Amino acid sequence: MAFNSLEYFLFLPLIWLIHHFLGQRFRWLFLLIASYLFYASLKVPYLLGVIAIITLATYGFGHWIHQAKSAEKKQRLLWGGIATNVLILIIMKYIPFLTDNLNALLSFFKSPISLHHAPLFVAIGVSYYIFQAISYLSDIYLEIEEPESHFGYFALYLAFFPKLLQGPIERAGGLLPQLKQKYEFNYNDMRFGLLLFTWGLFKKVVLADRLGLYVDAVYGDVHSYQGLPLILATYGYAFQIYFDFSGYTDMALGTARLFNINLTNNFNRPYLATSIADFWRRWHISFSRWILDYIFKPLQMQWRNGGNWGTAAALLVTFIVSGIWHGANWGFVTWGLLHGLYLACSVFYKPYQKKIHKALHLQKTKVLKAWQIFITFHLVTFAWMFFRVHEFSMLNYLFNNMYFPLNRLVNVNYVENSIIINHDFANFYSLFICLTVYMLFSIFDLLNNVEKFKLPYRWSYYYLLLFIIIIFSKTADHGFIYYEF
Amino acid sequence: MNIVKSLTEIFCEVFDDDEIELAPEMTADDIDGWDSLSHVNLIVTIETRFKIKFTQKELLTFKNVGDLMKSIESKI
Amino acid sequence: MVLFIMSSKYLKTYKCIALFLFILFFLDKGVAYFIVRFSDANINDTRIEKIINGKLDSALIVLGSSRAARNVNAATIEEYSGISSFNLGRPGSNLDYHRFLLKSYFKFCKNPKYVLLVVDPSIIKQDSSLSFRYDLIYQLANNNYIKEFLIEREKINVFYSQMSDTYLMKNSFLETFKPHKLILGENPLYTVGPDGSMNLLPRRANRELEYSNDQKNYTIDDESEELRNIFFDFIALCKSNNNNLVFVLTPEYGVPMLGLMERLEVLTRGGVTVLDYRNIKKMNNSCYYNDGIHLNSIGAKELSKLIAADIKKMSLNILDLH
Repeated sequence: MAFNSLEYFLFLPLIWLIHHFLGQRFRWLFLLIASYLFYASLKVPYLLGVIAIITLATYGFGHWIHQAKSAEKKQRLLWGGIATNVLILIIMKYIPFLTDNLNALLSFFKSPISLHHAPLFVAIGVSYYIFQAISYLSDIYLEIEEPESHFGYFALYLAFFPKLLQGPIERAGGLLPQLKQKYEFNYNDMRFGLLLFTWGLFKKVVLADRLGLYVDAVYGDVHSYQGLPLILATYGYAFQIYFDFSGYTDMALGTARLFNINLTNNFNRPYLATSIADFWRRWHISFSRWILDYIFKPLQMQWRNGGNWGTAAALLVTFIVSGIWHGANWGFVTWGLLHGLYLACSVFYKPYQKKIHKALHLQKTKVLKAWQIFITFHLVTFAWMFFRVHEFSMLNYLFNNMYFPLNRLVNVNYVENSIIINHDFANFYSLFICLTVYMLFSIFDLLNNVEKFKLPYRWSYYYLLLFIIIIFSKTADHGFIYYEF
Repeated sequence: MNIVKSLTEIFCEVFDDDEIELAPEMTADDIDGWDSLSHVNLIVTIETRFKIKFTQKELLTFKNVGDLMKSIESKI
Repeated sequence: MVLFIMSSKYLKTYKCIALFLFILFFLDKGVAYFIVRFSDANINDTRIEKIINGKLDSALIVLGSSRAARNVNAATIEEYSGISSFNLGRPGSNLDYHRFLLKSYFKFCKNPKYVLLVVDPSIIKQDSSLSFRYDLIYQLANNNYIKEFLIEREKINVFYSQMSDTYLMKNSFLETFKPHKLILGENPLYTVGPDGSMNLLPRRANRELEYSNDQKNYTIDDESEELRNIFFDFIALCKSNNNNLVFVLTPEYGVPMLGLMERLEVLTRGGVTVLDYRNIKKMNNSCYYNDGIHLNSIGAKELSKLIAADIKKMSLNILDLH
């Protein structure tokens, strides 16, 4: 069930109540069952099998690695465990993509052989807990963590429902101790958890979904538009994906908070990043730290004698993998490759860049910072186009028609038709009002500061948020973007 | 051969900062500019200077300067 | 366990939550009330409201899109035929919407003797300019009949609509909140006359309207099966209710589309009277038209006189098809 669904609004309080009155002894078991039920509500039975297999295999490999005496054996077991996880991931997500591309290749060489088109499996959540499993095994191998002996807690570490479907990707060292801690009702946790959840809901069902209405209308019928609407839709998508994913993350963190669990923060004002490297320290933080620790750093060390080229290569590989993880199509791979290129290039030009800034006396100035934010945002938004649009023909049309029409801006009709698509004034006004509200609430960081207010003001804020959600949310249902990964 | 002295020299060189003073508890966050690039440069310089080789596993498990120093000691 | 629940450790929390929900309940009602007041002040088309309150009792109703709303003047029909008439046409509405109005009228108002459906050439095709006008009925979401309908069409969630009055009326607010109207004023194109008609003022422009010699042909391939079924349903409804269903093809300043009449004949198996005014000599005057397919108020009056005459003949059982 999605976090913004009626079922979840009924599921969560019920689970919380039972959990609250249950003893410490059965807490893990109840949460585990609840998590599996949550996963089962997707109505895809084989997914339960997948997570069960991953849990068993990873639990086993974890102990074997720890118990192995020789370094060689440890390494072999590590690779065995990783290979098992990766194999299952490939089967779930990439078989159709691989067979289709292989077929394309075969037909290119006019080979009589061709493979059957494989069915696409639903794989919600799989990418996330498999990455958790791999991090768990690696941490045991590096002797950063000890294997978890309690199978129940380990299973819960992988399946904990707030983070099951779209992350964050939790490290064993972070989540396991919290799961084992004795639960004590904390009024502040409950209050903040609910508030965070509501804030995430606002971002998702009001901002992300309404931006989505605009973006889908334009991108869904690109050839009818030129210039301004295409630009607005592209910027719109950058914000849509941010609100969608960070909204989900807030709901996940808020839910977990109700159970006294602090999950890792996944976002930190990503569009205020001053460089692509900085962007990746602010966007999907748990994922980017994962690829940093488990792909980039090992590769970079492996190729350290290649100097800058070694690092650049490591960056490219890491981000291509990131692209592939996001999805089995060339759009995602291109997106990943683009970020890899951005970072690889910066390895070479960064020293020169520093010299130029120094020479122009721009170092640490606000002007420089604004410029860097501006450039970074546009690089990222450009890359998002490949994330959203997978057809080459459509991308081609976009690049040819996405100009800023200075001469047409005097035409009021043109501007109006660019901003208001399909006569959807309701959407325009809703977005205008709600984006303004969002900016005000963020600038004053009300999420964290509201607890300092007196009760009437605090409650006014809560009621305001609730009514904004009720009134301005979209009517029809809109799935989460990051579900598909 | 004083490891700490040589190591400090290397740090100052790699990070272009003459005032670094090493302490065992120091981590990556303590030294300005010790991001992924400098970390690699640091390791390569140390390996060349001390004529040693770190294993992949070691490199990924150094938590602070103290671990680094211990590892260098064990290899000379 | 009950003792556990009643433990004073949680009493403060319970009281807090209870008070919060209590205030929320009243706020919800209050906000919903203001939305209703706000929307009422901004509605200019009260015809549906009149229907579901049973306030209409005309013997002849006109249904259709802009061709009905603009080209027909119900008051003139009434004057020249002696049959009380009302125009329920609305620009931009599709057959699904016309059927909805028909059903609602049958349910709440006196059974009309004549149902005139003005037929667009794209009546059973997917036409992006025609749609079901939910935006016109959201204002009435607090009416049970409309609420059930919206739930059935999955425009509102049944559970949420029971929990929150504000939720029920949110679409009404979203549709009526149009600040640009404050600057630009009410659009005169959308005022509704007392007879329901939405006729257009004649154009002042000196530009002469050109007669269109563009010959179009009716194509069957782009018909929508869903709309076709609604079409049959519409006819069946009138039959079961013993109304006289009449199709009207309003005048066009151009060559009429070939094949449309034949298609209607096939679809209705000849069981529905069709009044075809598309190429009538009397209406072949450019001063009656605002554009190729829409008459102005003068033209609407003239057309309505013709319609009235034909309806009168029908009522005297003298059928005279053109």
